[in-house]
Amino acid sequence: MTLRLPAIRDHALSHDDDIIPLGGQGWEKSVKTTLIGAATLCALASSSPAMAQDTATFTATTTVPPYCSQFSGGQTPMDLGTLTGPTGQTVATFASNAQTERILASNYYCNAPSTITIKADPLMQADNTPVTEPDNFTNRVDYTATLKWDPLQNSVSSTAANPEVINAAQANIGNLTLKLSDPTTDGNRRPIAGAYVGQVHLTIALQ
Amino acid sequence: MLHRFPLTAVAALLLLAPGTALAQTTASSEIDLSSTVVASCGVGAPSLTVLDLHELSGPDGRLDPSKRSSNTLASTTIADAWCNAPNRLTFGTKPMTLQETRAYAQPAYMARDITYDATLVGWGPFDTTRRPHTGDDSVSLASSHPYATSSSGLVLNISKLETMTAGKVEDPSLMLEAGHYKGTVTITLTTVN
Repeated sequence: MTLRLPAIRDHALSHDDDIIPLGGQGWEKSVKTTLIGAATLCALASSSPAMAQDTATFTATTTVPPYCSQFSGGQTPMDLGTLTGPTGQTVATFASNAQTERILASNYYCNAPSTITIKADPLMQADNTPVTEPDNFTNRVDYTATLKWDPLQNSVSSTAANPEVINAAQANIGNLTLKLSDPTTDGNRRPIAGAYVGQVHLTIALQ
Repeated sequence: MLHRFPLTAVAALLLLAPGTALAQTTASSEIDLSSTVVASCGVGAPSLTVLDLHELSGPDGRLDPSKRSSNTLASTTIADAWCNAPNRLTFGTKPMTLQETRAYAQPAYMARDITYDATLVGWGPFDTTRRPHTGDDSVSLASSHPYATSSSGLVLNISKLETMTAGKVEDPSLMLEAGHYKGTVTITLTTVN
């Protein structure tokens, strides 16, 4: 007698992000059903007069591990354009041609509760030119970074010592978008001329 | 045979279980930002754009002695002047000259030009004074770093007027020809590489 497993490979879990169902309950149920069916088939097929009352029962289980999909900050910096206006002081809003928003991932998801930590480093003058008139000038421009993970969002200022956290109490899916706004300097001091660079740090953790 | 199957099935199950290596407990990313502050300078509007020195001649037709005083005769203030990069301030002065054109040559005992002290206060640690004699007398003050005026601003003081000959030599004995006199002070800030 030949035993064949049902074609459970057709239902196998895949590592492909796109087809991992959130929560995984449907898949787990499918696998259980398939394998219990296989067990029944096995028991029936293995019956023989010598072992007429012999049965075997097993329970198959599996898990869907908590998982978050991939995202990327992008290869190129977000160009925030010119930071100052005619008075030499920081503009109230970034220039209209500045790249103030970037979608880091479309339909980003975590299949379990998670947190996203946002930390913003200020824009600093890249040449490290010393500020010899600190009462009037600065080499630092601060801003606000807002991370939106539909429908959740949180903001952090680059002046903040501690990061801010988006707390997703359950599995979530939505576009992951970073937005930058509100350039400012301490005391409205004028930034010295030059190129400025900064960074936004995102850390995603499953709870 | 019967007992072998469950073991086989379980083995298959383990192989089919999702790889735990895929599960990420943390992931992080950095988004780089870039921006620019263009090198530039700014000079605010003076509190006064015309400094009126009023009547210049005294009872004897010569320059009123009070106009020769080292005390400030007129003043104007630029509240805000700044450069956010290495810069140069150019302080240009022109003497006061008679604005009307005369049909005759300047008499030897008469003056059509007046010099003065123009003192700029508030750009750098030292005051700068120019005393124009020719058509244009300017000086440049270079700064290797960004600079801005203090809260007292950039102040221009005018003092110590004196009559000049046609050769632009100071001579207090000259009488002033009647008419309107006008001089110019120009303050220019530019960034330098």
